[in-house]
Amino acid sequence: MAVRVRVLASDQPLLEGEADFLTFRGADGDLGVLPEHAPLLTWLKPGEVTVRQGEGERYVFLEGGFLEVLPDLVTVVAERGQLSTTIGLEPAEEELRAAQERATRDPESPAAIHLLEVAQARVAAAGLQRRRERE
Amino acid sequence: MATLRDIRRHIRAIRNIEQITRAMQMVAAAKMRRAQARVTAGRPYAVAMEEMVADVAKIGKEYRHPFLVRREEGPGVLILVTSDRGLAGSLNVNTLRAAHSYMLRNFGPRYQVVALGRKGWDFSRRMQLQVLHHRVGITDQVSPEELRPSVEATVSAFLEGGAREVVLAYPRFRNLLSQVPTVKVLVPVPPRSEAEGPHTDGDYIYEPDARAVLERLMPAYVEAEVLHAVRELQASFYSAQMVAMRNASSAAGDVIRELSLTANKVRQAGITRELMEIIGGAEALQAARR
Repeated sequence: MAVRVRVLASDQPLLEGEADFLTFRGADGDLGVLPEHAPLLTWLKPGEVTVRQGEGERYVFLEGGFLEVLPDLVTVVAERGQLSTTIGLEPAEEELRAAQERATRDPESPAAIHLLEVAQARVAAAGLQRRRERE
Repeated sequence: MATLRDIRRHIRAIRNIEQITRAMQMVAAAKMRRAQARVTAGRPYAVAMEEMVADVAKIGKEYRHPFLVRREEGPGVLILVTSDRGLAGSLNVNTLRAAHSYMLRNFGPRYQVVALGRKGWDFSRRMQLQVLHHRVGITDQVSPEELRPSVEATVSAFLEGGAREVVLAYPRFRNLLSQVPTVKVLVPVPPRSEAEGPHTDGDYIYEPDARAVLERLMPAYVEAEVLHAVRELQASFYSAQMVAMRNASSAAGDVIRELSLTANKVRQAGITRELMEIIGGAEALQAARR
C-alpha cells in the first residue's frame, strides 16, 4: 500500500513518486502520514520532509510551504526547497551567520525572523544529512 | 528616378537594420531558451497550488475564506501581465484585447488594474482605468519576493477593497510559434467539478486551524499564479520577439535583394548610355572625316 507524493518548489519539481510513509514539520509539530490518511491541510515550518518507500528514504529540505494530504495523493508545495543531498554545511552556516546578524540588527522584522528560522533549519538539515552520509 | 548613389545608401541603411534585427534575434533566442526552461520547471508548482485551493473550495467547510465566497457586487480587478518592451509582434496586443473584452463584458469600462509590465500600464492609463498598482522592470530570474507588493495590492483590493473578482491575464507559452492569450479567474477560487479532486464528505484536518491555514494559503496561491504568469510571459515574449526579429531580418534581406537588382539595372543603364554616347561620338567623328 503506497500513496502518491509530489514535492514541488516554485522553480522546479523536487520529488515525485510513491511513499509508504512520510514525515514533515507541520504547523503544530512533527507529523507522520501513512497511505489512506484522512484529508489534512497544514502549513510547513522550515525543515525536512522525509519520504520513505520500501527500504529507501529520501529527504527534501523546504523553506516553508504547504502540505495537503488526500487518501491517494500527498501534495507538498514550497516557494523554495532543495534535495537534502544538495545542502552544503558551510554555505548553510554562512547563511545562518548572516541571518543572525540581521536579526540582531532588526529583531522586530518578521522577514528577518523568517530568514533566521530558515537558516537554522537548513543547518540542522545539513547536519542530519552529513550523519546519514556517514552511516 | 533614384540615382545609383541614393539606392546604394538605402541598401547600406537596410543592411545596418538587418544587422541589428539579427543580433536581437540571437539574443532573444538565447533568453527564450532559458525562459522556456524556467516556465516548464515552474508549471507543476503553479498547477499544484491551483489544485490545492480548488480542493479546498470543493470540500472545505469549517472556514470559508473570503476567496471561496462568490460576491454579487463590487468592481473587477485585472492583473495584467505584459512585457515592458515591444518588438514582439502582436503578443501584447492580443493579451490586452482578450483581457479588455472579458473585463468590459463582466464589469463595464471602469474596472481596476494591477499592471505588471509597461505595455499593460500604458494601456490602462490610455483607457483611463483605475490602476491600483503597477510594476515595471521585473527581472528575468523573477523571484516571489519581487512580486510580493503586487500580490499584496491585489489581495487587499479583494479583502479590503470589496472587489467581486480577481482576473489574471497573460500570454501562455505553448511553443515558439504559439502564445495563447489567457484570461482566467483567480478569485473567487473556481471549485473542482464533481468528478475531479477529492471524493469525500469529510472536511480536512487543519493545522493549526482552518482559518490560520487558509489565511496563509490563499495569498500564497495568488502569488504562485502571478509568479507563473510572469514566467509564461517571459517565455512568450522572447519567442515572439525572436520570431518578429527573424521576420524582420528576412524582410530586410528581401528588400536588399530587390534594391540591389534595381541598383544593378540603373548601373547597367548608365553603362549602356555611356557606351551609346561613345559609339555615337565615334560614328560622328568618322562621318565628319569622310
